[in-house]
Amino acid sequence: MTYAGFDVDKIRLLARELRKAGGGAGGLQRDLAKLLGDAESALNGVRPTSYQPLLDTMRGGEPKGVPGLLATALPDTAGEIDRRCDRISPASGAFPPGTVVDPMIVFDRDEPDQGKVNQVLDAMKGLGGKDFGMNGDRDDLRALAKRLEDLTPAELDLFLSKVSDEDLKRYGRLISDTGDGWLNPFDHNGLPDGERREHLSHLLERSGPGLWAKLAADLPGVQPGFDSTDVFLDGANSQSGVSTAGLHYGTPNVPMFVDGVQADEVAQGTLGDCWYIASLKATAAADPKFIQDGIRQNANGTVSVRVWDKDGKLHWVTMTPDLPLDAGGDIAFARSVSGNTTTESWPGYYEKAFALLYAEDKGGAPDGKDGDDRYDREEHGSYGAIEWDYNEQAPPYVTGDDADGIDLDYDDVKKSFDSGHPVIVSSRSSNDGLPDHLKASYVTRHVFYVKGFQDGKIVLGNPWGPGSPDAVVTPDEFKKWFDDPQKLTVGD
Amino acid sequence: MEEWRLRRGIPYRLEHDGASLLVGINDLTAGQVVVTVNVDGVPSGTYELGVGDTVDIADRSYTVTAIEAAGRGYADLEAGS
Repeated sequence: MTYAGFDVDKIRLLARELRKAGGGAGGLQRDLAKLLGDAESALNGVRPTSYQPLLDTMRGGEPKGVPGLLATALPDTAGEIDRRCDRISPASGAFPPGTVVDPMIVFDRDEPDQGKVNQVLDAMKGLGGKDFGMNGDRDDLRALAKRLEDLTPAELDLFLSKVSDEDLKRYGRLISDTGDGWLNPFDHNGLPDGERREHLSHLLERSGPGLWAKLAADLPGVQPGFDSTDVFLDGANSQSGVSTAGLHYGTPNVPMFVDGVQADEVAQGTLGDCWYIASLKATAAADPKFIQDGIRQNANGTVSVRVWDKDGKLHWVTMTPDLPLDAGGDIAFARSVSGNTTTESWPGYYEKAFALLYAEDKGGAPDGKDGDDRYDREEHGSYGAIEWDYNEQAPPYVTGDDADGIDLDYDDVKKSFDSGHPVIVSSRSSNDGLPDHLKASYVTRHVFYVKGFQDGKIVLGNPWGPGSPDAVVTPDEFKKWFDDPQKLTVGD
Repeated sequence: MEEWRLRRGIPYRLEHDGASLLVGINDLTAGQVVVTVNVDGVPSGTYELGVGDTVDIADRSYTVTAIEAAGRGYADLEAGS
């Protein structure tokens, strides 16, 4: 269902008019009742020749129909309208085009059911110290997750305003812990990755603005951490203008889109995830609409991004609208850039969704910091999980299909590219003997993407984005200096 | 003394005199780092540096104080006072 043109100010004006009309309904009822009484008196006891049951509702006493009932019905409706407008009014102003409004938010006519909310609160509190039995806690948690998802948005807001941090954190720990119990290797605990991701997305998409902070603070997996990234652990880099010591979450000061998806503008930030950004840029270049269709801003301000998991299952990962920012307030990781100015935030949301869902981190490339497990540990659900990995790992998460390795051959690459396939390729680990014309553009141990062809040469783009020169290589140079080209498939 | 850790694979963006600079490591081997400085998208210089070598970036002189080629790799630069 698509909604277009929500004008909250005008809808609120309608509510005011309804309330005003409701205020006059009682007087109108009294006037009509008096008129009816006067008319009957004028008949001097003669029975009317016709009977209109509707007129009975206008006699004195308790209102039984219009207009008397409107005295309460119209203000009630106005109240519903105001309540829904409060939920869909972004604090930052009007919604950009493409905003998605969950019908549940618009059509939950009823006031929150306090009893239903209290039952869920009790069930969540009851998790403390509960004996889940030999089969583990998964069935209990699934039942509670379903009850949470059955709450209307208004009920969910009421629940979140009442639940204690202690109870919510315990729930978060339990649904995140899928390990076996000490004594029973056959029990089932927590919610499996994909199921937990869907659950968290559901809660974020339905909760009211202002309540995300509680979800992010109490439930692991809502917000990907960045404190295990190299750039954070390295500390300040004051000369670069990017003070990693000041890395923090905040709302970007640029819109999600300005001029649609422009692959050339996508820029890798201070995160070592060229292997992902190359796939994102390559796909954006081949099919900008595919990328644009894969992200949406929800009416409550959250953002949802389409990502496929490692098993090829599609998820809309819903996240809070904040991104890691540097000390100066600029987006620290992926974003769109023009010159050196950040212009759009959409790549940051794609990257954030990927960080939340990527499940194949094995610690990335070793960093020579043996014994310091802050660096190359195996992670999940954090930005650290997407630092340094192999080029064929990212495409399934971006396109929904595994990438296909192709020959390191000009004709094969051109044939793939010309038939609409994005192509990414790794560089070698050494540049010994590199021709002079490639010295500025060639980066070892990196992933590039094919931008096009020029005079029999391949034009390779750097995921670093604007400011980094393309590597333009002959077929022989391509064969010598690159490795492991992958053909992506979009939209099958 | 200001220090700047350049990590392999990471672009570093600066503004200087109205120009957009992008600094990145092109290659890293034991004892040597290759750094390119791009100004408004055009390479202005590619430098092969060892520990103790200096390079000028955005009108400041930097001395290479450490190179770690193993693993992800990085080079530490120190700005002259």
